[in-house]
Amino acid sequence: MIDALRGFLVVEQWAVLAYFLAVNGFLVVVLVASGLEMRSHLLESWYESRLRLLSSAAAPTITLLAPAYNEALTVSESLRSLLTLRYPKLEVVVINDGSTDETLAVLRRDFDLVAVHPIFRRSVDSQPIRHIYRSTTSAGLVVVDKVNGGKADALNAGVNVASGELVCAIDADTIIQSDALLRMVRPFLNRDDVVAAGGTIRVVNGSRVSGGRVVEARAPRGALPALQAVEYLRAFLTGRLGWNRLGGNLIISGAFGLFRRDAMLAAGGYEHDTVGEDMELVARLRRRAYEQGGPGRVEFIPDPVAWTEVPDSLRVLGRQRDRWHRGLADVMWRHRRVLGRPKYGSLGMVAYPYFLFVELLAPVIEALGLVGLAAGLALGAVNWSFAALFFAVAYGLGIVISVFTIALEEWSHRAYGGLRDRLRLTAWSLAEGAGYRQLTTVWRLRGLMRYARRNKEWGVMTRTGFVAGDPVGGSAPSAPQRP
Amino acid sequence: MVSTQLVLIALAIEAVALAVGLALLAGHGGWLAVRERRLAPRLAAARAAILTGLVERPSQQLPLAPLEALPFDERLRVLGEAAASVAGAQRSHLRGLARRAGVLDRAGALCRSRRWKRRLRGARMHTLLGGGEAVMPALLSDRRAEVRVEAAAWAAEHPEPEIVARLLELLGDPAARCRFTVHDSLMRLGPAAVAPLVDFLASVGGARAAAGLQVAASLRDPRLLDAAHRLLSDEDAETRRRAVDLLGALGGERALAALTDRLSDPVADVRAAAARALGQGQHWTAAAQLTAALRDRSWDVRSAAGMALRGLGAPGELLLERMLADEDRFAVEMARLMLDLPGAPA
Repeated sequence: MIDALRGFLVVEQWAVLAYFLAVNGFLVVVLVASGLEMRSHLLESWYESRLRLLSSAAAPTITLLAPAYNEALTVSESLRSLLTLRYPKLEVVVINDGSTDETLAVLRRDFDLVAVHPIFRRSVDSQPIRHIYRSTTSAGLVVVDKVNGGKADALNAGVNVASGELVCAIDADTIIQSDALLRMVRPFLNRDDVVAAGGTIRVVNGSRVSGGRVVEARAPRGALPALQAVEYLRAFLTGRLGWNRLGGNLIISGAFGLFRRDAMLAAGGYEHDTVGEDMELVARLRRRAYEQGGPGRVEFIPDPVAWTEVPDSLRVLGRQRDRWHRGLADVMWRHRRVLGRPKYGSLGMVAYPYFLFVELLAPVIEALGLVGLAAGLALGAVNWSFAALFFAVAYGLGIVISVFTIALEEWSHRAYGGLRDRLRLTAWSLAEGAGYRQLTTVWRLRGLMRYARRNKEWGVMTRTGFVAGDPVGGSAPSAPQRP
Repeated sequence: MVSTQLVLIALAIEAVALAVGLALLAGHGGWLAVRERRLAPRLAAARAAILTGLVERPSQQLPLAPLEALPFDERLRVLGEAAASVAGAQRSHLRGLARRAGVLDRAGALCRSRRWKRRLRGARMHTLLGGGEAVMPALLSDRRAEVRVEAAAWAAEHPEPEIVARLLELLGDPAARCRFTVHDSLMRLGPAAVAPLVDFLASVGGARAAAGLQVAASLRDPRLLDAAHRLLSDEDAETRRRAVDLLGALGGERALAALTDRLSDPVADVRAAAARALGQGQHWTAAAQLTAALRDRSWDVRSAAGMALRGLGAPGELLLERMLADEDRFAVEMARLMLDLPGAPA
């Protein structure tokens, strides 16, 4: 019996090792693709004038959709920051999603709102709209007051009312770079078949924020935010950028993403019944393009376009990762029919299998590997050399990829302060495999188990908030983003 | 089981890769920091010399020495920073300095390169600083879309008829970015683009004409009226819609009959555009046809007709009230929506 168990453990360990080799090998390919993509991007944007686009009458209109729920304390400041974004044709639609506090009253007072009754088509389902207001002091500001229905529902109401050819979904607590829209619109101008675009989102913890803008970008000082900053860099700069060359992205961050409105309406808008509505929409847009023809390309630009505050407590971070993984599981399940079907091109043959076997199932396999390794060592089925090889392949290659990602950041945008900040992030990336990564595995496993029990809660996240002039990092409530 | 040798090989590979990554990171960062520190005083001197020259001594040549003390990339950086904020005589002044500093010569040489990336760099330098009249027109026909885009951007400051004509040909370019930049440049050229645009619209149809009409609608020049009328009967629906938009933008009594006629176009987008254009021109004599359009099967047409009627004031509102008793429930619904708008009669 013991011998049979030992034999099983040996086979299992080799299988897990082979899995990690394949995954890390693929990630190296993604890293190389990212490097090539970054080189093209830097050439394309070399001395490119964004001022020209800023003064162009031919630029497409962008509608910013900002859902707000009980944000009376911060909504006016956030909105002022949005209204000063640099873009020639900008409409801002704030959707008051049935707030029970003074959100609407504050908006009416600060922006001199008057009720209007514009004719719009209810193209996608949403809870009833009670009133629509326009500001007499800020041209281009529209406030939609509706019955509460959640974030996806609020965004759908906003899409119905929007007049822009492009719509940009943002979270109220995302800090957007002033020229972000000028950068984000580029993929839509470059190609006719782009339906969605996203950009790099950075971690704001540790940076100095004033007037709704990051005035001094620094790498986070605390361990947890710093480790997440490394994760974000890897997810955006290596992950999503590389996917531009490997068959297109499947995720556009809910914190800041730009979509073609007609494609979004044709696809039916945001799905209400999921916790991963941003990823679900992107998957549906791509799938629909393969099924019905028409545009379906999802592009990622490496430019830093927005900043978000990440959790600085393990409890909140755990809830966030749990939710993200439930969202991922839900999207994978909803679109399971695309797996391995040539009809769906790179979506079915590359992107979906990657997200299923690498992103979704990785924690299961990693946990099996770790438990099997411990059992194998205890029973003498595997030796210490094997354990060393396992860790070298599973975690060592991850560190190498993180270091090269930070090198890519150094070569390109250098968004986080000076070299010292990037070296600090590098030091944290070396420590990522010593506890942090295992914790994320546990949280993601918990997310999978909760998904299996059909749990669709969002959970509550605690944030520090942005106090003008102070580095971000301390506690006030708000909502989390997927990198 | 796994041999120690295999583990050592795996670890060695990772250690080498890690060392390379760290060396790249620290090396690049360190090199940049040292270079920036070394160049900072020279960059400051060059910026100050250009600023002083442009603002305080506009009649004198800008001093070349501070710029010559910089490597080529930094010369371009300083000139580019200044070029983004100046126009007219100051821009010419700056262009003169760029020429004397050898930047425009280098740009010209790059534009003639066989490698497209170099041609793109050269073209961008000319867009940034000006000049390039000898090399840039040819790049409007470059085989790489990226280069054509840059040449089209450069052309916005060059209203010569042959360049405008070439821009108009590029309205049908297969690359989306090229079409956008051409559109933008033609709008920036303004009146200089009208005569070539009239000729262009007289000779084309279909999608290319639609792109031309889109530019024409933003130029709003009466010389474009004939072209709009001719293209109203084009086979391509998008072209007819754009022609309707142009007529709406130009207005005038002559447009009335043509626009009213388009209310019965087989394509809903064209009918909606016609209703909008009639509303835009306040053509009250078309009120009866607009009222009939409230029964259209397309929501867009009904709402455009309703808005047009409402825009006509009291007569339009009277017609909307009458439609409340119509047997078509969609027409009744749209009339009700229009009458419910703020400011409408109770």
